[in-house]
Amino acid sequence: MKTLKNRILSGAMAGVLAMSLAVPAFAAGGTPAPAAANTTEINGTYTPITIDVVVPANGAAQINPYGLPIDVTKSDNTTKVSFENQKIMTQPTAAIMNKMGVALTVKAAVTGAIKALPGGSTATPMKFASEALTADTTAKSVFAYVQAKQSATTGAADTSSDHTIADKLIVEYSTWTQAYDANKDILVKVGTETKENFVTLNAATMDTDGTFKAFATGSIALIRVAGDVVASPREDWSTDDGFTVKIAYTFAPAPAAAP
Amino acid sequence: MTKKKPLFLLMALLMLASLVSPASAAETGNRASTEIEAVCSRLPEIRVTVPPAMDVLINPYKIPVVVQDKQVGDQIISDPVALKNESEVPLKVSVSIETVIKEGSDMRLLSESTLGQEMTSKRAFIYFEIQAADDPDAVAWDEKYSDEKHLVIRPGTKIRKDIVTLGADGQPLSYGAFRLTGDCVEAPRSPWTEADGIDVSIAFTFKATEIAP
Repeated sequence: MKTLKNRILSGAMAGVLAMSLAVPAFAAGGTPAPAAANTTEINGTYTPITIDVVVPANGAAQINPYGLPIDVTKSDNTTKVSFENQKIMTQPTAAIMNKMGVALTVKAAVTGAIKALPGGSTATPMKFASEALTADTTAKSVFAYVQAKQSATTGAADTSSDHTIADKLIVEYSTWTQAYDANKDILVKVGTETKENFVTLNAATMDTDGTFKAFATGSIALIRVAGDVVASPREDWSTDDGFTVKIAYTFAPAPAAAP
Repeated sequence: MTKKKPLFLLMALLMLASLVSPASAAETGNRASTEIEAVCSRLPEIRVTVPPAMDVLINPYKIPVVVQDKQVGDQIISDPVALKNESEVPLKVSVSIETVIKEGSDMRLLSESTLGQEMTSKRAFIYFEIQAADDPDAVAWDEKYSDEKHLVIRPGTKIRKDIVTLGADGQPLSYGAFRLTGDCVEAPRSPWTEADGIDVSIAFTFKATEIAP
């Protein structure tokens, strides 16, 4: 996982405006009045904002053609949470987390690729479907899409000894039910699909000194690849089958709400 | 007289005071990415218990025979046996049935029932029936032959794809109870002897299917 910290322009004034209204006052006798008396100086300075969003570099998912339950173990290495009826199940580690005191809009560009079969394989590679699967689909294919959802999980950031956030996210992911919505979700295909305003990350709770204190409601977004899989294709699924999804995020401060 | 000095305007730089307009990504580097790898690793192991053998009795004279603690007078009687699905997924079952009439027998197999027909030749109508069940000892067998559900056996090989679906282990209908049944000519010109009979080999294939949500 990496933290994105870069500067962006705040859009604030970036220059010095100095204007004198060029009608110097003259004292009697023609001597100009001192400049300081009739000049206003304004200093506008550029204040950079550092983007601070936790974005995992990698994630994992399982193609689960038969909708079998998949267990994820919490940080205590004992408690298991079952993910049911998810034909494409994304491990609950793909969330993005805003650690800034401003809300961010997130643009996402999704690029899919089919995993190459081992050399010498005579199997047919799987395919991405461009629309929902029907009962008579026999090709080895998936209808996959990327979804986002603002998280209800709050709290201080995970540390090496405290994985409260991660454990809460496991539970949230396991209960996340959301049907495909072409207006909100991003189809996975060979090539790139982009969506502006994919999700909004709310501002985090900051300390009095302006540093990050805790995640607030909505400052974390659950991200997953979900979808449907042909359960009994003409050619059986094998462990050689797979695909990758690259999600490229672009962050920008969200517009302030109208008063 | 007052002289007016020319106006002069000093302006160093004027910038628009727009609020937080995002700069282009190229300028700002406000980007990051996640790569998710999806693999097909959640594939079930298919385990099914298949009975190795089954006896079939040709009973032309409908002599009462005890089958599973019940007296029956059918003309074709088999001691029902059952597949047991021990997999974590439901299975679609296909069958391939190869039949040979015993050497030395002059019986023939028909593709339709002998009942209601006046026949004097040694003929039999035998078909394969399989039912998904919770208890292999308490099966609701069909009362008569159905083209859709049953498979008539004839010399050679007969195949039926997806003849039944068995529930996953621990779920309802995980047993596949099957039998051979049918009818035959009761008193043919050439009487039935111990030489009469058939050898049947039933090969099952199983295909995993998805769990109902």
